[in-house]
Amino acid sequence: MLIVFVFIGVAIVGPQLAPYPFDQIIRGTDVGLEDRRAQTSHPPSETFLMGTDQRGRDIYSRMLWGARETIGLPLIATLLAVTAGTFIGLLTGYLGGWVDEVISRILDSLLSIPALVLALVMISTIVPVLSSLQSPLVASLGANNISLTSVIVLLYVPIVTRVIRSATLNVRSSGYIEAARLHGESTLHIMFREIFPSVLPALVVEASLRLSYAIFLVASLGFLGLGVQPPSPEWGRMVLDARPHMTSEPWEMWFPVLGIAILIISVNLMSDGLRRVFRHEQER
Amino acid sequence: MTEPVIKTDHLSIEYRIGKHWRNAIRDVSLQINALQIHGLVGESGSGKSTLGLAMMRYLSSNARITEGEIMFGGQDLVPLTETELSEIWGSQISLVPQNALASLNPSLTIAQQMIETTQLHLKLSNRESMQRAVEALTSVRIADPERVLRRYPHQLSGGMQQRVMIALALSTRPRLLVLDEPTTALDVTTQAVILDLVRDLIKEEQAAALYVSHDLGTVAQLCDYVTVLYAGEVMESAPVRDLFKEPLHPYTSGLLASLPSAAAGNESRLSTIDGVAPSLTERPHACVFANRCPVAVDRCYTEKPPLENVGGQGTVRCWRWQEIASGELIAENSPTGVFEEASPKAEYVLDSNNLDKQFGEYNVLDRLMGKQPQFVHAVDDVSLKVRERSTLGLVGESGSGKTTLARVIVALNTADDGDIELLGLKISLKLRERQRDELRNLRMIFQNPHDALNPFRTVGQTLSRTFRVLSADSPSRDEIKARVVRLLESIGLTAEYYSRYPARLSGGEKQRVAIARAFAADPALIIADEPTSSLDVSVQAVILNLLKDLRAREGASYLVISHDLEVIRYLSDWIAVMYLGQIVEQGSNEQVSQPPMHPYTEALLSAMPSPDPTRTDTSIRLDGDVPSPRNKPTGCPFHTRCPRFIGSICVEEEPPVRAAKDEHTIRCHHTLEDLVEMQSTPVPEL
Repeated sequence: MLIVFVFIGVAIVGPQLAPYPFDQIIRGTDVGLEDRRAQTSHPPSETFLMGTDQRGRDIYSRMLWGARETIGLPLIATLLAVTAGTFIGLLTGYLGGWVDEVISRILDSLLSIPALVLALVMISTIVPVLSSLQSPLVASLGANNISLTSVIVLLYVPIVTRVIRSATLNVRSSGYIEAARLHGESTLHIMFREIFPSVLPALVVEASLRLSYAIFLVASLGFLGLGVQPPSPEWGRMVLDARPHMTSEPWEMWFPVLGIAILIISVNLMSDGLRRVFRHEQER
Repeated sequence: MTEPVIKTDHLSIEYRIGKHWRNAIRDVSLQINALQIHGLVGESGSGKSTLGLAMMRYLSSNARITEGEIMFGGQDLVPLTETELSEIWGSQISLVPQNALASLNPSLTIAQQMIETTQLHLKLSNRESMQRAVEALTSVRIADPERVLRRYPHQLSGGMQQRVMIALALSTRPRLLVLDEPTTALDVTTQAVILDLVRDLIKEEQAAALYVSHDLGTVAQLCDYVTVLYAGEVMESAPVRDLFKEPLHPYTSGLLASLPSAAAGNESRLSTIDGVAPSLTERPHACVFANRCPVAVDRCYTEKPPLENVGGQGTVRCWRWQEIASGELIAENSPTGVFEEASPKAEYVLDSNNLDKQFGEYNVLDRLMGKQPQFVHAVDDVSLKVRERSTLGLVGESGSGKTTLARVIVALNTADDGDIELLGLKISLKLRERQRDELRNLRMIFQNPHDALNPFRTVGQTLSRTFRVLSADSPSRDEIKARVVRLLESIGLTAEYYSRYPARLSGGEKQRVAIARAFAADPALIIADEPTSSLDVSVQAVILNLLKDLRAREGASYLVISHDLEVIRYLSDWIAVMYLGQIVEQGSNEQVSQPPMHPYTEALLSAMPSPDPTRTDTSIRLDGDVPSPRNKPTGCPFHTRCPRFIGSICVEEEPPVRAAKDEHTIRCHHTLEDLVEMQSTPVPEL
């Protein structure tokens, strides 16, 4: 839990902490040396905490900058997916009938497409379309970021929906829901005021689990060269860049890989912890 | 007397809760002799199941025996290891659990499970054990054992599963049978058959049995000797007749007096036991019952009474039993007064005609594939009327469609056909189309108090919401709060409950709040679906009193649904008996309880366990179980089980509705005169 907050904190203030801009090629003069050449492929040292890469960029700075994309983008995408999934899940779970049938079948068919394939197809189709729009909104957010976000949303909405739907089904036939119906309460009131509190535990746990998968997906796509585009220092991308010379300058790969691994493990631990907290609550 | 089959001596058991060990069973000594059926009665949380299983030395992993011994066949079971015990379990002591379906392995046929048991314990060959299985099933009166053996558990009905469990338990010829609420999940008619069977088999097999139950009626009918357990301690133990005739402990007499059948008449209140049973963590160190005892004296709060022998075979744990025995002291919370007369008026609150509801398993996929839908006819052309300020009781076994009928009336399910008039005005069958006033006038109390209240809302929030949504005069916030507090007081709860969450209420309190919610906005008719079936007897009495009080005070009418004829008879002026979606008989309370009556009503009355061990008229037993409404029998739906079966006319033709006097109707092929004649003479043995 704590580690996750450290990561999120880094994502927010990281750029301010970074000693160098992420794309600055460090020259010897920058660190008080006579040498004017780029300080390429430095192993970790006092000057360069995590060393520098092939082009002479400070990996420590890049890690700090990159945290924003690596954590922020999945976080936003997951929030969107969870919000949409919760709404659809409550709706289908509570209403049942043909609404449920139709929506569930559509979501099922989405689930049947392998995640990476869907991501590849979507990115390769959305990015050109978005770029050709020339809209300022797209330009400010980046066509790639938008397409990545929509891939994650599209992938996770069905999963979140399923979880929320089944949690809803558990309480749907309880006396208090029926009592509310007999009050003539509106569907929205029942969905959000009566049912929502009881699916909240499932929701929070699911959201944190989804987050860890989303981080993984963004990093994987980055590694495949499809994610956040260079020169942005997303960690998955950094691994890709480091791959060709992993034998000569292994540190270039270590740090982003370690970062991704620790991040995902800690998000997972957080989701386990949340689950335990909720179970404990229920037992009381 | 012969050597007892099993005997416990000062047995104490503790449970681990968090970091502490809590005493669950304290100092229990009891013994069961051969051929004896020993009843263990108690309310939920009294430790009766723990003790029942502990007699086999079966304990859950967080429990331990701290003291005492369990002597079985000259051997103490307490120090034995799992391996040693597993030789005794199943072969010498068998268990018949509450939920048969959960105890049978769903992926093995009955034959495989029965053979496994006998081979393991008796080392029989395949052929012999198969033969033993057939014998065992025959002994539990299963007509076609070979066919049943080939079945999987889920293919059998509930009654049949329980018979298989008993057969399985008996197949190794054990000396002791532990029955843990074996009939709680079954219908009354099936329960009566199973209890008869247990009684006969214990005699036949020369075994002994421990019967654990919360139901005083079945205990009175089945057992020879009864032990009453409260908060893990034996309160009283005596031969069955003595216990029911002259209870010596205030708890026993309180329990007996809280049964609806013990009431002097429908106008008199039920006597109740105040308070709630102490939880495992807060048991008093002196007399555990003192704080609820109507005759407790100072000594009861400071010193624990010993278990004393009374003359004869009984024991009792009370300081004042001698005064009770001599008749000086009446240890009952004697019922105070009668209910205000709620004189029924002639006008109808509810007048529903020809209601019909079918359920279909029919989803989009099936529709696309052109599959034929399968319909279950849950409510079949039912007409019901409830008079103003009166109570209509609707009784029937599971699957009779009584709950569906209630849901159709309040429109939680939409009826396929029929019409409903509320206070003389026709109302829509669809919930969405009902007006606020119609919703306000027609309220419902649900079966399960534990999910009737939203766990995330306080009692006050729940009740306020009802006032806010349904009140006709849109009251202010303060006015709502004042009304909620007044309402809480009227159901006997203090204003403190306003800010409590349901998790902190007992089952009875939750049900009271649910009742309060139904009464909140001054309704005309309240439909109560099994309002007490998940509550203990002593709590049930409180709820029944409350329902009667509120009816008199608020001038509301009830439609009460229950499988328990006792409850229905106590509460109702008018009774309707339902079977497979049809009303087979309706009439006033007295009319329905005496001839002429429908054969099904007759069977229900006869199957009802009454807390009177001297009652012997167990004349009518129904064969088989309620048929699935999916394959409803043709003609008269009851013909497959009818003790008064005439012949092909019952199979082929729907019976006519015969009118006796004053709107009393019976749906049967027999004429009323025939029914009177038949029901005045004992049934011939079949």
